[in-house]
Amino acid sequence: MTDNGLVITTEEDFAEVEVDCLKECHDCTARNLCIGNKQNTGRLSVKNPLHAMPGDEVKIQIPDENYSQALILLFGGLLVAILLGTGGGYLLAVVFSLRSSLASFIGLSTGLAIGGYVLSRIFRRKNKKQLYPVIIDIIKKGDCHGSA
Amino acid sequence: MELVAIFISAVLIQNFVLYYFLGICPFLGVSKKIDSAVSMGLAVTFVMTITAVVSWLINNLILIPHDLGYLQIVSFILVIASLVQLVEMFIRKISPPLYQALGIYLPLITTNCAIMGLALIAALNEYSFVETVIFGFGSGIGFTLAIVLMAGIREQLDLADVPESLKGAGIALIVAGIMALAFNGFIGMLT
Repeated sequence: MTDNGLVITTEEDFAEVEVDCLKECHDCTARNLCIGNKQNTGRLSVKNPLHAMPGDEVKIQIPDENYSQALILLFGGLLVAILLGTGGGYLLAVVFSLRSSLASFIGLSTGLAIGGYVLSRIFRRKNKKQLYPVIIDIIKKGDCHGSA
Repeated sequence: MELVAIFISAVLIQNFVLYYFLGICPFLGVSKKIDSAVSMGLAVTFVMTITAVVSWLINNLILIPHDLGYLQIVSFILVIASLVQLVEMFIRKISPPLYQALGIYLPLITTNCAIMGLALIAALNEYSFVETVIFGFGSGIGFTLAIVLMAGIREQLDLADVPESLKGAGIALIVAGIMALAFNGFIGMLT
């Protein structure tokens, strides 16, 4: 999905872009609560490989197909972690004659903590490569060019 | 065996969407594409499982011992609201672009009435801790199954010659009704 926006600020390889109300938002009943709020605009952090400057009007590519995969990885991973933890705790309780609810709860909490840690490591790499929107074109140069 | 029965019952027989008719808003709203339906289903499954666990702890360690059963609904609402906030904070921490992309989407999908229904039904059934986890997980998988089936059908419906007056919500509700009838066939599977 692509959308147009205005560069507000830049910092290193990223820019803050104010986008018009996203095209997808027009069909969404939650748009009044969401990023397309009062002024029908939203601010996004986007990768800035073209070195756009504040005031530039840009076209951005939003990797929406990657978001579904990332959500599946995130919640699927957490679910697997908590189920393995609960199952492990339950088995230990059966083997060592412990209270099954306590052992399962400890197993679940441990699984959740380990799963959360592993996923945070995975996402640290994934964020920069796949999940940030990218500026793919500078439609109109702003006033900032040549002033520095 | 008991755990397997609880799981199958939660997925197929007492399906939250097609038996209890809970969580219809995300069921109809986010069932246009299969991959978004899967990710939504997994998000709901995760929140359902964790909600089942935390509400079990609150119900069995605080409410029942202190004879505070009348606070069940209020405390479950607080539990669900807090959990969704925690999930949001977790996503914001580990993946800011994903958080930015989701916007209001995550609270909307994970705070549906199916989550509240799950907490209340689990308390009503007086499940043990492990049974509660399996019930929460099974209910989430049932929700995912229903929404993915619906998404598959709706993707095919885009290519079908649907009468103009039934396009959109109309045909979606008819399909949901037929699916609910089909799932009724599972009643009696476990006795």
